[in-house]
Amino acid sequence: MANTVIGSTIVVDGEISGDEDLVILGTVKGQISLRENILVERDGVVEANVETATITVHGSVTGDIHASDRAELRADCRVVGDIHAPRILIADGASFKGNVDMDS
Amino acid sequence: MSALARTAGDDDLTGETVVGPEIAIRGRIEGEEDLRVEGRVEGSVSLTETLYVEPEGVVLAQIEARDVVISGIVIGDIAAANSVTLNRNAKLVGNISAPRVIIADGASFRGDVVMDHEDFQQPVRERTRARETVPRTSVGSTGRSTARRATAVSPTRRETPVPAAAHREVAPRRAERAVESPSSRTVPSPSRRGSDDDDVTVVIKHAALRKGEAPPEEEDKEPKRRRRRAKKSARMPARGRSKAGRRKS
Repeated sequence: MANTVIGSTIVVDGEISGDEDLVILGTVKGQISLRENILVERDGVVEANVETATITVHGSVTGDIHASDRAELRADCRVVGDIHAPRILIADGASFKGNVDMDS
Repeated sequence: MSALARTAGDDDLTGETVVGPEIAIRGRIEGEEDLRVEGRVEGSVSLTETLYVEPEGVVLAQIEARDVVISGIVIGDIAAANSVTLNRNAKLVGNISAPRVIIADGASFRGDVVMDHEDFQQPVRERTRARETVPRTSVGSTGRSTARRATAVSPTRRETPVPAAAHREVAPRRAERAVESPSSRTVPSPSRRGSDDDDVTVVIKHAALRKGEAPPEEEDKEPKRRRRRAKKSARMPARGRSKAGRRKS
């Protein structure tokens, strides 16, 4: 369950950090560092370097992703940037450009 | 109205943005929906809706919002379009600018409060604008066209028109405008046109009066010609007469 929601009309320009789940429906620019799960919803836009345990992307992410557990790129997502994660899932229909590194 | 929207937003989590208790955001947040801060926000917040700072929430930021409801801690200036509410356990250090400020018993606050209503200025502005439009355009255009006409008729005598003549011209010109092209005026409201009609009657009288002093060939059918001849006669009767004769032939 997610406690923190960035709503669809919200733009955050800066740094988000913390220890709980984050759902992004709006726009986040800058930097995200969490120890929990990030869910980027269909219309969510992330232009940031992301550090997290797991990330699930339905929307758009521009920036490097460092996931300590898992990165999921779902269908219709758009990701530009490098991904570092021990487990990486890219669904059919996902669009991705960047490096993948699965060394843990 | 806003209260209803707010309760609906509370039930539906996707309708608002929540910064959870374990989250810290540093930077700028802007948006068009409610923002509920249970964690920590530093930087600036700019919303078109309501900012709620919950009891555990800490906001160190410049805040712009329609409404701000504080139950936690806020350090920074607040500019609210509608209201700022400090609940029982709120702590605020900073200045408040809002038409409505509510401070509950038990809240702690240090800073200035300004309750200016910006709404007052707008109706005044509109009123002055409406009043000025008519005289400005009519007078301004008359003056301009008068100068142009003078040049066209007699470049050498441009300075000759006496103030008296100019004054006389103002009224006829305005009236003719109303008759010939009322749509050319910027904002002709019905009431204004009514006052112009009053001017028209005045003008006709003036023209009739001027007929006496004007050259003998003053048997006008068109208002345009009447204007020209009248002006010329006022400025320099002899020359005007000769020129008018020339033009006819």
